[in-house]
Amino acid sequence: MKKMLSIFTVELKLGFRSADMLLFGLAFPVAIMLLLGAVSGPGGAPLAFGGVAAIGICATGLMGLPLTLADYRHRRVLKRFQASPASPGALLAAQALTQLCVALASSGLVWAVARYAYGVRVVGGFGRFAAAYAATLAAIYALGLLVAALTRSMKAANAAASLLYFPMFFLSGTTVPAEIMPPALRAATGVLPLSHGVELMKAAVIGVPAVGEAWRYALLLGIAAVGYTVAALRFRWD
Amino acid sequence: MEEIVLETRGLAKSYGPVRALRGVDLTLRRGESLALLGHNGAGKTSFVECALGLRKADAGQARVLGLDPTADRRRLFERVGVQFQESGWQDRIKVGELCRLSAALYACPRDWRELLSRFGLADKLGAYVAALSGGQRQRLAVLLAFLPGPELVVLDELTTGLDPAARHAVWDQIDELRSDGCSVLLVSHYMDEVERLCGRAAILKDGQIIAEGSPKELTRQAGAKNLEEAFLRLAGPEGLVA
Repeated sequence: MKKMLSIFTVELKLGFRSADMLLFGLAFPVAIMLLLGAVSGPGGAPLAFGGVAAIGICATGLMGLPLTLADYRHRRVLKRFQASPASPGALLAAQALTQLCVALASSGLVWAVARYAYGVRVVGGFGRFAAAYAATLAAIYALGLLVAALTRSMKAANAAASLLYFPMFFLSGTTVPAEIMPPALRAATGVLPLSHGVELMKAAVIGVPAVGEAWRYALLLGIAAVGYTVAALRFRWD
Repeated sequence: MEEIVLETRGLAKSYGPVRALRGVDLTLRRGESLALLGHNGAGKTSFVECALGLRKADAGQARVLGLDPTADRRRLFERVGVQFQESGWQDRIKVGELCRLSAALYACPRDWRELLSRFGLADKLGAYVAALSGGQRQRLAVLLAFLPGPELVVLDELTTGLDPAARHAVWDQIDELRSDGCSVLLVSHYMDEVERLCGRAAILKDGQIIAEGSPKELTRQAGAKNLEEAFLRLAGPEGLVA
């Protein structure tokens, strides 16, 4: 635990020194919340918040987490850790915790904008929202770790992360509301894990049950379980 | 009987059709300093990585400090320091942060602030590692290998990129480590460095040990004037195309 916290402390500092992290993890979601809130008005702002809150998860889980690990492998930083008493678990947990802090900061800022600029309230209760957020985060971070474990180069990691990130960013209801998509497209977005998380978070914000709520939770947690297992088994230092 | 610190038997490794190691047997005893010599691509780094369990060997066995390096990696690296030929750093990390983080990985690390002073880097505490000169980064890499207070230190191209004064300063630090009983496995292209630091040298060619002995023995064996000439005679031409 001490080793993990030491790695985490340094990684968090490094994270907040990264322009990418500040721009895409923090500023970008806030700007989108401001924009969507202004476009959709007070009636649509709660739904917009439910979606935009997931952008931080998407950016940190599908970009920050796998690309940092792939970069460290490419630069031989992981090799240096391999020649030390550090465990892969401590390293991965520290990375995940670092990205989690950024995601929480992002969602917190988005919440502050939604609450104070557009009067959004979480009608379904913060506990329910937090459960949806945690399940979404667990699944998306598992996918990010899978990308890091299964790709063999920085270039491949970049391609795989982009292939997951951009469809989820545009089609999961984080920015473009699923409600305005053609039925066929909306049905197709069901293959994107983030769309289920966004549905759960939106339902928690407006205080209604999500369609197939239990099934969506089971899917997200199933992805998380499989993803973490495979990522742990396929972990490589170089 | 002298205690064996590192022992490999029949260590073999291939990368596709390239056979990097072809059954290497090597022994390093406690307090001994052994140099591994060879042309570029002779298999030196592959040997180091396979012997320490950092890369999976295709065949053969390795024991380091009585441990299986693959199965006991974390226990082993509490007692072994490694300086890689190419060291990797996190982007935007500062010298002090890197040292503090690295020290936190060990149960009983040496005082990294004192090591920074010894390696002439005390004034670089708040500097970004990326902003250091090549020589300063090299010294930092060696310093990190000293952090565990190692019983065995493995140094892959120890003084590449260092100016003469810095080389001598690093050699003095190695001397001090050796006087504490630490064993040294040195990979080097600098024969003056090998003569200065090592009591024994092994020459690796095409993944095999072709000669082994003290620098004087190797020089005598090759009928050469010095170790550099002996190395060139024993290892042969590197195969560069003119």
